[in-house]
Amino acid sequence: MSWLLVAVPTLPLATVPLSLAAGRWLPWRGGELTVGATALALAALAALHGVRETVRVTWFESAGFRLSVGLHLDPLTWFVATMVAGIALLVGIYALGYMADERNRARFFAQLAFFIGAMLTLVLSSSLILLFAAWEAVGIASYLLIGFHRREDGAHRAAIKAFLMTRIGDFGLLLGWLLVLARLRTTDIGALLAAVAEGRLPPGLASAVALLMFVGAIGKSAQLPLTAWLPDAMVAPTPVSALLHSATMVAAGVFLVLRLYPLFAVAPGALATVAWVGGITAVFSAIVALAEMDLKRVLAWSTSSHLGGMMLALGLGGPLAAALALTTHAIAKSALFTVAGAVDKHAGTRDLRRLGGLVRELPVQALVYLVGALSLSGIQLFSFDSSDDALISTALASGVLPTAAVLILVFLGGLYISRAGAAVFLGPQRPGVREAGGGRTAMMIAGTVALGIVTALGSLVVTRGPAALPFEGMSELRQVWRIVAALAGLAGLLLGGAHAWRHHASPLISAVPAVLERTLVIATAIPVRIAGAIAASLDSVEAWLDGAARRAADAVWTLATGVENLERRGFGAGGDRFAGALRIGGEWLRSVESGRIYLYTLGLFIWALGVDLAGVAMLGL
Amino acid sequence: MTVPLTAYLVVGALLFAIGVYTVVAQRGAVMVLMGIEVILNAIGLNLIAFWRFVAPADYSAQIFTIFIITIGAVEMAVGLGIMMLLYRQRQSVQVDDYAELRG
Amino acid sequence: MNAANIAEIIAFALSAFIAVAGALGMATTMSMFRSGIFLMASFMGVAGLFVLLSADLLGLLQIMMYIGGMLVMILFMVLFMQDPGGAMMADMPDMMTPVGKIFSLGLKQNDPTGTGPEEEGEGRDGDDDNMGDMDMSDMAMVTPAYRWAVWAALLTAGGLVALLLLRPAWPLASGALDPRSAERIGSLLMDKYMVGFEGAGFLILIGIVGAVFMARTGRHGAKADRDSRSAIEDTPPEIEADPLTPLAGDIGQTGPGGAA
Repeated sequence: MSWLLVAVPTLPLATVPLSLAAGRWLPWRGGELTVGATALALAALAALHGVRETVRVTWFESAGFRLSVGLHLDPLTWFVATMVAGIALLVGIYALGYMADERNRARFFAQLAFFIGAMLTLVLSSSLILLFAAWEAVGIASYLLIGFHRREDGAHRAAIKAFLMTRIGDFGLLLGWLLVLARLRTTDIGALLAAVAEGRLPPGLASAVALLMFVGAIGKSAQLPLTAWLPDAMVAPTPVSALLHSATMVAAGVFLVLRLYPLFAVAPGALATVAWVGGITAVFSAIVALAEMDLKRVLAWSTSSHLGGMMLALGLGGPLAAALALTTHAIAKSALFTVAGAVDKHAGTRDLRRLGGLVRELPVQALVYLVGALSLSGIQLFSFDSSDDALISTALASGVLPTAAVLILVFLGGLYISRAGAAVFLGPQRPGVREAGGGRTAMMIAGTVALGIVTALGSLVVTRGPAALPFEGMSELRQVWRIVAALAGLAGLLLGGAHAWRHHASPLISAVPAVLERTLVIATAIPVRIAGAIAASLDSVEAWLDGAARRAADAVWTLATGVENLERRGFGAGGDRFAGALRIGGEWLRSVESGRIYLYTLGLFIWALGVDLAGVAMLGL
Repeated sequence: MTVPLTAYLVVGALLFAIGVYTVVAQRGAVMVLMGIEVILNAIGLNLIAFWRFVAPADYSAQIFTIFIITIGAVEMAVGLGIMMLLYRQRQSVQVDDYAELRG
Repeated sequence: MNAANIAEIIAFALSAFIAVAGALGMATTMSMFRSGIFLMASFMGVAGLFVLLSADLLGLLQIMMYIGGMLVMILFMVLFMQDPGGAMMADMPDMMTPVGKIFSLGLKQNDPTGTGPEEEGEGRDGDDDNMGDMDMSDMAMVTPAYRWAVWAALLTAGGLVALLLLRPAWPLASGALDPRSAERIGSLLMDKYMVGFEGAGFLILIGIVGAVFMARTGRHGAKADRDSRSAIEDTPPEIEADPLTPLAGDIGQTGPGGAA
């Protein structure tokens, strides 16, 4: 079975050179290679269900350090890898339709396959060094894919911004695994977790390693100090947003914390940091999403917010909740992004102010959007056991503040999602910038619908997996909390929809900024008025001052003339002589630099000879 | 081992001095490169002589001589490249035709 | 003193003479082609010394690397030089150094008529028409600092030899040599000096890339080519069909707006 495991990340990677070399002669320009390889990887993962396996190769061993690379399959990595491969497959099918009229498709699909292979490597890696390499590889893939439309405004800058900001986080990850290597002399994750379990890692070191790893997670998952790259990354083609910047790559940070959860569990300080950073990011991003006017940017801020929610769950000690939320969010968000891509293709714009009434032209997409929005708000269609329940039960176990935060998050999530959805699909029809009319090709609809179905069935599919996850389950949730959570989400959805119905796409909490602005105007106007009155009354004083200033200037002028004369007669001549001496010395020095190579070599040899002779003389004496 | 160490070292010293003369006195860039090769040869000879007479058990000296030969070869290849470039640009490979370093 | 010792001394004397005399000839002869040949002789002498010092592998390497590889490059480079055969210098014995005269014996002199058979050997020199506009200093083989160089070389040689003779007491060690020295060197190279070995390999790679990069044509065209191109840019071609010329005529004769 080990060859099957190795084949999972290798298959997509193997199509990269194929697509680059031969893609231009294929009917889908290499897209069929990417999709086929991903489907094969998914099939291999399905065959590997329930298998625990580790393929490990020692890269090299030197002076007690042992660097091994390899793949590791256990319920957690299988679960996440299957999710990645599944979403990649559906988004790949969607991309076949989305990219149909683009140039350089072979390049795009090669980069996409490269990303999928690197992401699967990241998830399945058994050693920190391979994980780090894959981590960097997905960063590069993200850079390339964001900048795919390199002639488009801002794509280039957004790509560089995303790469550099995630690099800041990667630096933390690098330091983290180097610290592990220096201490344990191995980079094997299994060995690290075993050392943690046996208590061989001092608590301070464990905290340091966990915090450094978390810095890496902050960068990749767009948590608070390093958030800004994610919305800018939305200039990428929509399949990229659907796959990299909502479902998989940005979830790598959460996955990293999840994978090393036993390490974090013995470092309470690190866990608290994770919780605070995640919570603040979640609320902040959700509020920003309320006022955003670009459909994809709304979804990007929402992604950042939901990732923050997962971090919060992790920090509160609920890895199972985070794993569930990771999966449901990834599926629902990529479904939403595929809908956004179809809207963009169809109406030619993503600006909420110019969209509206699209439900009549894109009914399937509207339905999928509804399903995705419900799923994100914690209302599962075909199951009651949703990820939000897990989140709430985790939060309930740790206090009032987290519970309130989670409920607010659920509410805000419903608010902005339904606001954006209502602005796009409901209301009167508005003419877009151009009536492109695209976005309804078979492939795109197929991908969207499949993602929508998975979203709707989400928890049925998802809850099968976590049963085998190596985390203890949480306490059973009381029915009343479940209803409260569902009500919060529903209230958010309805309020947001109603707001958009009446005011179209205007920002949701617009009253607050308006009041702030008016206060600011009044507060500045009063001092300006007072200052003007004072200035008017001081006009006479100013006239007197003017006269005095003129007299003072005359005096200074006289003084300056006197000083100038003195300077010219006294110091001038001496200065000239000094300057002349400097010039002659400079010329003499300049002649040393003859530019003749043989003179330089001669000087070198004579100098060496002199040093030798001096040395001999000193030794002899 | 009839021939003493000093004899080898004297040969090395003479080669070195001739190399110094060539590097400084010759105008042609090729000649300068040849002088450098002679100097490198002298150094290698010294290394090997000392190895044979002082530390015959440690073969490191031969390794370093091999490195010296390698670096000489690379230097020669790069030198040829530079000379072809210079010749194409200025039609001259005399070292004193190039005095851009002049201050 | 047995026969083996005498043979060793003779071999040493022969190799050392070839090495030093070859280097001296390389440094002083007027013909660069001869310089290359003398350099080869010097390398051979040093290779012989290596063999005498029981470093057989190095002797072999010396012959293969220097004589097989570098000398070919040197002879290539010589072709770029002015007067590679030293024919012009052979006309002017008073510009030679005393030692140079010995090593430049028998150089073929320039054929003053320029019609003689000149296919053979070192005296070949096609640049007869350039002779007129070349002054003496431009033809010299040596730099103006060559007297200094002589003193530096003499001082170096004298100083080093004097030092050697004054302090001959090295802590000599006589150990039996490993009969399989090449194997020892190989395993040392792959084991202890692995990093250096890799570095040398990397250096060679960079050297190859750099040499090819510098020597390729295209970016820096030949001088004549560049000159002709800049000449074209200095005198732009005349505008053939200037649309303003007929208009100017119209203005002069029929006033503005005169359209048929």
